[in-house]
Amino acid sequence: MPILTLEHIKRTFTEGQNKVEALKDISLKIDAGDYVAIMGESGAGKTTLLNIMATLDQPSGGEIKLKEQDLSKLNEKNAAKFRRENLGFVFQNFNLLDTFNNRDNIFLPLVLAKAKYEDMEQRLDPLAKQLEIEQILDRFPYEISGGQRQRIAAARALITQPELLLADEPTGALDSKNAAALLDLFDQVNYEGQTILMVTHSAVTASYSKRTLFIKDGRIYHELFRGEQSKAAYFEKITNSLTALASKGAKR
Amino acid sequence: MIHLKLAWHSLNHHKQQYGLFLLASSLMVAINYVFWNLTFNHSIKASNYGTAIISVLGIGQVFVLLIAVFFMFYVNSFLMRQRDQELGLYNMLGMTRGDLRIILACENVLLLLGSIVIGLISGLTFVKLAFLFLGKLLNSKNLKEQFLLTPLVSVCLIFIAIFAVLLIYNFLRLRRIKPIMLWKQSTKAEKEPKTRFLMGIIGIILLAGGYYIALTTKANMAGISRFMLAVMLVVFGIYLVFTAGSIMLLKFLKNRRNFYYQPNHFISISGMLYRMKQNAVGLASICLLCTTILVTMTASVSLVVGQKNLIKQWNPFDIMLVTKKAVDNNMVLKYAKPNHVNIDKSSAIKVTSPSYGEIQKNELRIQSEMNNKTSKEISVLTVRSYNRLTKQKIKLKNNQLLVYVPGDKLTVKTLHVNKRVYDVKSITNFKLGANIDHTIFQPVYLVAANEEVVRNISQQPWIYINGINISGKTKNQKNFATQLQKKMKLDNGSFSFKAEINQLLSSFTGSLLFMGCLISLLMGMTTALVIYYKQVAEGVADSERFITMQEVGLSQRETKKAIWSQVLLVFMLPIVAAVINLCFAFPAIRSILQIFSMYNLKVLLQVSVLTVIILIAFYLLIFKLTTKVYQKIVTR
Ligand SMILES: Nc1ncnc2c1ncn2[C@@H]1O[C@H](COP(=O)(O)OP(=O)(O)OP(=O)(O)O)[C@@H](O)[C@H]1O
Ligand SMILES: [Mg+2]
Repeated sequence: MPILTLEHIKRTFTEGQNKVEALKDISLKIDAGDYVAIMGESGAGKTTLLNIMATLDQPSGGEIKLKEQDLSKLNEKNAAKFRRENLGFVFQNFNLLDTFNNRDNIFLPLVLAKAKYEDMEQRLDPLAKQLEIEQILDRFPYEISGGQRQRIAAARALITQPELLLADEPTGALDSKNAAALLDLFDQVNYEGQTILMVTHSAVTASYSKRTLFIKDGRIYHELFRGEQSKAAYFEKITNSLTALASKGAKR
Repeated sequence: MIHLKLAWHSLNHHKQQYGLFLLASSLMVAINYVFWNLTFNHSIKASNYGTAIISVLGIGQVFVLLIAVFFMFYVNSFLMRQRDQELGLYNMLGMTRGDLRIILACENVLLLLGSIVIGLISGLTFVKLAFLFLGKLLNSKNLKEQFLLTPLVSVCLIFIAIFAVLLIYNFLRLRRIKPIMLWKQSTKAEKEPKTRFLMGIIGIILLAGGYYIALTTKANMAGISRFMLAVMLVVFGIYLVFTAGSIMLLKFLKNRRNFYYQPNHFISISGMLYRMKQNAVGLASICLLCTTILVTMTASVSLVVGQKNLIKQWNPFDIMLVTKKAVDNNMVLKYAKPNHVNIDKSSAIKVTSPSYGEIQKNELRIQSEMNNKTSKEISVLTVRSYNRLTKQKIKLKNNQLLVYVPGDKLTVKTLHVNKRVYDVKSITNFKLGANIDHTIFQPVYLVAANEEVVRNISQQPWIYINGINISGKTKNQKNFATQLQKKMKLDNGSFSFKAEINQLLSSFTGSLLFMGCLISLLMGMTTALVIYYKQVAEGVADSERFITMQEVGLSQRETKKAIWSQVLLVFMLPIVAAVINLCFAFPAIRSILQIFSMYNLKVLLQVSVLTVIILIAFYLLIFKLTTKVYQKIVTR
C-alpha cells in the first residue's frame, strides 16, 4: 500500500519576468517501508521535490497524498502539526539552531510535541551511541564540524520515529566511515519499517537504497530497483546510469 | 576615496540596520539636547524655585547622558556583527586592516553627521512644539522656549566623543579578531554567556549604595547633589545587575528540566540566553527610563495635588502679616469700610522670629545661620500667649514643651534643646502657626512655660504673626489688601494675601507640571523607541531561527505563543525593577518635595500608585504593538 503518492506534480518559480520550471511533471508512489534514493544533477529539482513532500512548499499543480491526506489541502496550522507527527528531515544545510546546544537541537521536535524529558533521554541514548555523537551533545552547533552537524541533524530527524524520513544529501559532509555509520543506521531503521526518501549525489550512498530514481529537467528520467542484487552490482548499475545520464545531457 | 565609497555602499546596502541605528542615535541626540536646552533656559531659572528646578534637571541631564552612552554601545553591537562579515570579505579580497579602519571611520563619521543633524532638528522641533502645546494645555505663560548656542555645541561635542569611543572600541574589536574569523563572526553565534558573579556582586553593591544614599538623603540643598550621586550609582548598578542577574535567572530556569522542556519556555529561554548580554542592556535601559517617568510624574503631580496643602501652610488666614508690633485693629477696620470688605476674624500672636535648625532624633539644634544641614525653622512662644489665643488653660512646667508642626506631626516624646531635656507633646490646633517665611524649611512652633524658657531656646527678637479673614467682592478684597500693605510698609515677605499666593502657586506648579510632563513625554518616547528597536533588531536576528522551527513543526500560532511567553517572562522585569527603584527613590522624592513645602505623604502615595498603574498600561500597549512588528518579521 503506497504511503506517499505524487501525481503530475509541477512547480514553477517566477522571479520577475523569469520563470523557472523546477518540476515539470513528477508522478511516483512510495510504499511503506520503502527506501528510495533520488539522484540528479545540481539544479535538477531534487530539493524542490523534497520540500513539496515535506509540506514546506506547495506544488503549482498536481496532487500529492500522504496516507490519504491531500498535502496541498493542509492549512498552515495543520501542516505544522502534520510535519511534527509524520515527518523527519535532514536538510541539505542542516538547519541546526545556534541558540540550542546539540542535545536540545535533537530534542526540539519532541519538545514541540510536548514529550516528557525522561522519554526524550531514553530515545536519545541509543541514537547517540550509534551516531557517535555522545561526546558533542553538550556543545553548540557552531562548535562542531560539518560532519558532526550532519549527524546531529540526522538524530533530530530520527528521534521522533517519523512515518517518513526525508533526507537531503545526508552524507554530503561525511567521510566514508561516518557516512557508512549513518547509512547503516538508516538501513537498520528501514529494516524496522521506517520509510526513507533521500536525495544524494553519491552512488555509494544510493546503493544502500532499495530503489533509485533519476531526475533530470524536472522529470523522472529513469528508475532502478535493487531487488535481490548485491550492493556492489546495484552500485555498478547506478554508476552506469549516471554516466549515461550525463553523456546524454552533454550531447543535447 | 574608495574607502568612503565602500562605507557609503554598506550604509546603502543595509538600510534597515543603519536606519534603525540612525533612528536610535538621533533620538539620543535629541533628548540630550532637550535637557541641555532646558537647564540653560532663562525663564525656568527665573521662575520660583528656579535654582532647585535647574538642579533637578541637572540630575536628568546626567541620567540621559548615561543612558545615551549605554544605549549607543547596545545599538553598535547589533550593527557590528553584520559589519564584520563585510569587512572580513574586504579583508580576504586584499584590503589591509588599515583600510578597514578607514572604512569604519568613514562610516562612523557619516553616521555621526546623520545623527547630529537629524537629532538636533528633531530636538529643536520637539522643544518648540512641547512649549507650545503644553503651555496651552497647562495654561502656563511664564515659561518660554529659548534657542541657545551653548547646549547645541555641548551636545555636538558629547556625541562626537561618544562616537569616537565607539570607533576606538570597534578598532579594538577589529584587532582582536583574526582575519579569517572576521568573516565567520556573523554566522558564528555569540557564545552562550558565562555566569558572572563578580559583575553581579559589584552591581548589587552599587545598587545598594545608591539606594542607601537615596534613603538617607535629607531635605536640604545638599540633598540634590547627593541624590545625583545616588542616581549614578543606581544607573550603573542596574546595568550590571540586569546583565549578570538575567543570565543567572535564565540559567537557573534552564537547569530546571521540567520547566525548560516545554515548547514555549524551551524556545524563549534559549533565545534570550543566546544574546542576553545585549538583551540586558536593552532591558536595563527600559527599566531606567520607566523609573524616570515614574519619579518625575509622581513628584510633579504630587506637587500640583499638594498645592492646596501648601497654601494652607503659607496662608492659614486670608491675609497674613508679620510685624514688629501688634497690629492696630482699628486701623485695619478703617481701610476695610471704604472698600466694602468685612473683617470676619482677626487674631495675632507673639512668637520669636524663626531661627534655623535641625532635628536629629531627639535633639533639636538651633543654628546661628543657615547651612546645608538646615531643615527646620523654629519659633518659640509662651504658653500664656497660646492660652489667650486658643482660650485654653494649659499649664506647663519648665521642662515641658508643646510642639506644633503644620501639616505634620512630631513623634518624639522628649527633646534635647541647648543641653536641657524637655518632655514634649504634639498639638494640632494652632492655626496661626504658618510657614510665614515661605521657605523650603519646615516650620516648628514650640510652646514654652514662660519667657525664661523661651529665651533659653531662642534669642531671636519677638515678632507678631497676624491673621485676618475677610469677605467681600474679589476686587474689593484685592484693593483692600494692596492699600493695607502700602500703609503698613510691609514687603512681600511679611505680607501675604491668599488669592495672590494662590495665583502665584498655580503658575509655579503649572510650570513644574509642565516640566514633569515634558520629561515624561521624552522618556516615554525613548522607552517606546528602545522597545521598538529591541523588537525589530531581535526580530531580524530571530527570523531564521523561527523559520527552522517551523520546518520542524512549529505552527504560526505556536510561534506567536512562544513569542508572548518571551514577553511575559522578560519584559515584566524592567517594569518591576522600575517600581522597586521608585520605592527606594520615594524618601528622596519626599525630601525634594519638602523643598517645595510639600509634606503630605498620603497624597504622594496615592499619586505614585496611580502613576505606576498608568505607566504599566502604557508599557503593555507599546509592548503589544511592537510585539506585532516582531511577529511580522519573524513569521514572514
Ligand atoms: N525559491 C526559488 N526561487 C526561484 N528559483 C528556485 C527557487 N528554489 C529553487 N529554484 C530553482 O529551481 C531549480 C531546482 O532547484 P533545486 O534546489 O530543487 O535543485 P537541486 O536538485 O536540489 O540541486 P542541488 O543538487 O544543487 O541541491 C534550480 O534551477 C533553482 O535555481
Ligand atoms: Mg538541493
